[in-house]
Order: sequence, then structure tokens, then C-alpha cells
Amino acid sequence: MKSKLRKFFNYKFFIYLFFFVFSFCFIVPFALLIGISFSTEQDLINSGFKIIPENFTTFAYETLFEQPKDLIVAYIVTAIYAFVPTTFGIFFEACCGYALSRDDFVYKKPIKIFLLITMFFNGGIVPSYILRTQYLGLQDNIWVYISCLGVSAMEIFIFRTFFAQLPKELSESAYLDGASEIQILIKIIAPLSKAVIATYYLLGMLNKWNDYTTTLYYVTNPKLYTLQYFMQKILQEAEQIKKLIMQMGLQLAEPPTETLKFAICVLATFPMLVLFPFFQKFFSKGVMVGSVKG
Amino acid sequence: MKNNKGGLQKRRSKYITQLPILALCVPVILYMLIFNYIPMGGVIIAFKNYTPIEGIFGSRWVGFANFDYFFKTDASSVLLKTIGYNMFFIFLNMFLSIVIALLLFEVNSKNCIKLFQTSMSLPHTISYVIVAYIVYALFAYDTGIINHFLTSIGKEPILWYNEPKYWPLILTVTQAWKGIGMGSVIYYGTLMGIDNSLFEAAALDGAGRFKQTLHVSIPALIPIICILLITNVGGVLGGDQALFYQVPRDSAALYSTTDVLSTYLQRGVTSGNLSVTSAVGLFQNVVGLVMLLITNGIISKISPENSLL
Repeated sequence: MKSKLRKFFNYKFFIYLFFFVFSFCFIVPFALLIGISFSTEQDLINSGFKIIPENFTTFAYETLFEQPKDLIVAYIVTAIYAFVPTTFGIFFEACCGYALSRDDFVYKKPIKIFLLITMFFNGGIVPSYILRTQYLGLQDNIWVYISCLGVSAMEIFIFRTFFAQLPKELSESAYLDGASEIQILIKIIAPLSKAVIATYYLLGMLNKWNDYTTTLYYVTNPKLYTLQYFMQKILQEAEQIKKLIMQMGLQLAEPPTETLKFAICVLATFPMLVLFPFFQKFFSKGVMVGSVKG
Repeated sequence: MKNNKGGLQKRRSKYITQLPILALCVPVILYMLIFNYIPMGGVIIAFKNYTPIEGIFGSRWVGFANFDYFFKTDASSVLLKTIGYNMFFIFLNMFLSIVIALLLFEVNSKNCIKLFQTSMSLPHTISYVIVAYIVYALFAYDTGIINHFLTSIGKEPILWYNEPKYWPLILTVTQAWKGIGMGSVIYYGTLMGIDNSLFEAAALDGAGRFKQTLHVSIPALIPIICILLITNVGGVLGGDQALFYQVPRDSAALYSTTDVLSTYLQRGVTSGNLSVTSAVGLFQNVVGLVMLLITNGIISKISPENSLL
């Protein structure tokens, strides 16, 4: 009996141990980013990147905050890109999903087919690129971000399925009380579907926050760079960070190129990492629903 | 006859009284007309020699010359890499995610589960640009951690961003690190949904924890495994563009192992080679469509309620 107990303890113990070590592997890289950003440039040259800085300094951040214009502009553009199109996109999707959830809706079938076709065919990137640049004049224009609403047939169908489960009596009684369709959606349906709407809203925002392709294809004006593209440029092109330091008008014997890169990276990641634990439930739910329905 | 007419009138009036509901669909319809349907027509440039000056309609028809060009030049190596990477990633991630979910299922403490799950799915929220910074911190030539380790044990540092042969491994580990935490959530959720009496019955029959996993947990995962496997295989020509573009820092020296169809397409657009790129994109979409239809056919055989159509 005693040996059995010990055996039991052992196997659980190893699983816990495994997970502690394993989870650690997922957190350490973030610590590395932060550690590098607080190091001195000289230490990096001497002993390479380290998680725990040998000489702690906030020099990179100080340099950055002296002339933070580029970073702030990138932040604002990214915030607009994450917030505005997703808000409209989710609202339009919910409207369409609500209409399709109505059993008596006579236009249901043609709209369903209209949506289904977009799931199977798409023109690919080149026709969209030509459309946006040659015909809609969206190149180097803030509207190019807003034109990416992220409306997808899949999400509309998920909303429809969810709305259709809600008790019909609620919307019917509201209708008899003289509420319009849009009022029913906003006042009755949406509050009952908070979880699913919030999930896709957050997922949409996250996608936009992390997207760099729109900027890569459509934007050459540095004033319209998103954070991700801004960081990508700094990482991929060595002279980019020097240009940035020159623009800042700083006269430094040894510009903190490497630490500055990582300081920017940390500042750009920070909001997501802080917010993430609060939203993890939603993301998990989104992954579950998306995978099972897809 | 009279009845019929009444029905028709009733229905006609329904078409009119329901216009407010139809109005709710108008934004989506307009958006999709402009940004989904018009580009569908745009695929004709795959069969033309498109130049911005002549426009879509003014450009010369060239038949299948754009496809020909792609298949004669880059197709074999790019397609091989794309399919190879994607297939390998699909199976590897699925295996790792299932193992993690099964192990996590053995953890009793609610707080520990939350801690482990949150930290493991942390990489899911960050973009590949930030992942590229982490990879850079490891593999940079003068300051990278790995090169410093190599010099400290007396070996020559390696120019990682110029050596294609290491990148299949680096990319594999990177994408697994980013994906498996969130990937295991689905399987863990499925495991949580198993009726507890099944485990109790197995325990009564003398099955230990391992046997229970083998005969209760894994069979319960089979349906979701099938569905995910088939849906993922449908996107075998797609793949994560950001992984292959950002993590190797778009280093041209590494293209021999890191260039896949999605990065090829991306470079085609940014370099202005629009006709050939659109031909490749059309090829990718047609293959994707065929895969999707096959997938859907198989799913509707296995579990009809999960099929798309």
C-alpha cells in the first residue's frame, strides 16, 4: 500500500515538474527581451545578450522617450487599425448574422449562398492589391487600414448559429412592443451574446494589432507605419535604426542600436502581454469554436 | 386558386415587410461585393501581361504563359518546401498538443492548470515580428546567445542568417513554441468534456491511470483529431507567411530553405511582378478549393454535422 502511494506521488510529481519547467520555456524569451532592453550597449558587445543585465540601465528607454514621435505615431496608427475596422466589421457581421438567424427571413437563401461563395473562392492578393492601389486610391492612405474590416462568412455563420439558439419569444415580444429590427439586435440579442461577440471582437483586434502585411503592401509613408511594420523594418534593415537615431537628432558617440531595438520591441509588446491574461478565456473559446465549426 | 393567390400576395408582402431585415445585411453585402467579388473577377490578369499603364482590360492576353513561367522556374522547389513544411508542422503540432493536453489532464490543481495554460499560450498572442526579435537574440552573429555559448566552449561562431541548413529546425521549433500552447486548449477542452463515469468504470475494471488514458481519453479525442487533421490538410499550400518571412528576417541567403509559396507571393507583389504572382495565387486557390471540397467530402462521411455544406 505504501509503495503504491509513493508510486502515485511520483508520477504526479513528475508531471508537475515537467510543466513547471516547460511553462518556464514559454516565459523566459519574454524575460530575455526585457533583459536586453535594460542592458548597456557595451555589455552586449562584450558578452552578448543576457537575460539578467550585467549593468542595469534605462538608457535605451531614455533615448527613446527623448524623441518618441515615430513610436507614438506608430502606436496611434496601430490603435486606429485595431479598433476602427474591427468595430465596424463585428457590428456588420452581427447585423447580418441576426438577419440570417431569423427563420422567416425570405432572403435567407440567396444571402447564404452569396456568403458561402466567398468562403470557397477568392481572387488572391494581387487583384485586391490592384483594386486598392489603382482603382480605390488607397495607397499611402489611412483609409487602407479602415478598408480591412475583416468581415468573414465563417464568423457570420457562427453568429447566426449562436443567435438562433436564443429564445424566439424575447425578440417577438420586443417586436410587438414596437422595437425596430436594429433595436432588437442591440437591446435584446447583443446583451445575451456578449461572450461570443467579445471573443471575436478581441480576436479581430489582436489580428489587426499583429498584422504587418497591410503596411508592407500599401504603405511607403513612414507616418502611416504600424508598430509591427516599424519593428520589422528596424530588425531587417541595419541602417534603419541608425536613421531613427539621426532623426532624433541625438549626438551620441555610441548610439545604443541593439538595446534601442529591444526597447522598442518591449514597448510594443507590453500592452498585449499585460492584457492577455485577462482575455485568455476568450481566446481559448475562440479557438474552440473556430476549430469545431471550421 | 383563390387560396393560391392569397398565398402569393402574402409572400409578396413579406418580401416588402422584411426589407428592414434585409437592410441589416446590406453593409456586409456591399463590402463583400467590393472586396471579395470584384477581386474574383480580377483573376483574369493571371492570363494577361498586366502593366499598370494599360490597366486590367487594356493588357495583352497571354494564355497560360504566366503559369508556364512559374512551373518552369521556381515551382518545384517552392512547392516541395511548402508542402513539406506544412505537412510536417501539422502532424508535429497535433502530436505535441495532444501530449500536452493529456499531461495537463493529470494535473489536479486548478491554479496550476491556469498558470500552465496561460504561460504556454502566451506566445500565441504576440506577432511573428516579436518572435523574430527573440530568434534574433538567440542567433545574432556578434551578440547572439548561441554564438557566445559556442565561443565560450571554444568553437567557431556561426553566421546563422547565412546558413540555410539550420533553418528548417529553427523554424520548426519556433512555430511549435508559438502554436502548441493554444493548440492543446482544444484537446484539453475535449478531455474535460468526457463523462467522469467512464473513468470510474475503467478504474473499477482495474485500469490504472495509463490504461485509462489509452482506452478512455485517447478514443474520446479521435473525432476532433480527425476534423482538425482534415481541415488543416486543406490549407497545405497556405501556411504561415509571417513565420517564413519574419523569423529569417527575409534573408535572401536563406531562401533555399525558407522560401515557401506564401513568401513567394508576397515578394511577387512587393516587387511588382503582378501577372505571374496572380497566376501563382490562382493556382494556390484552386488547389485550396479542391482540397477543401475533398476535405468536406470526407468530413461529411465521418461526421455529417461538422461538414460545411
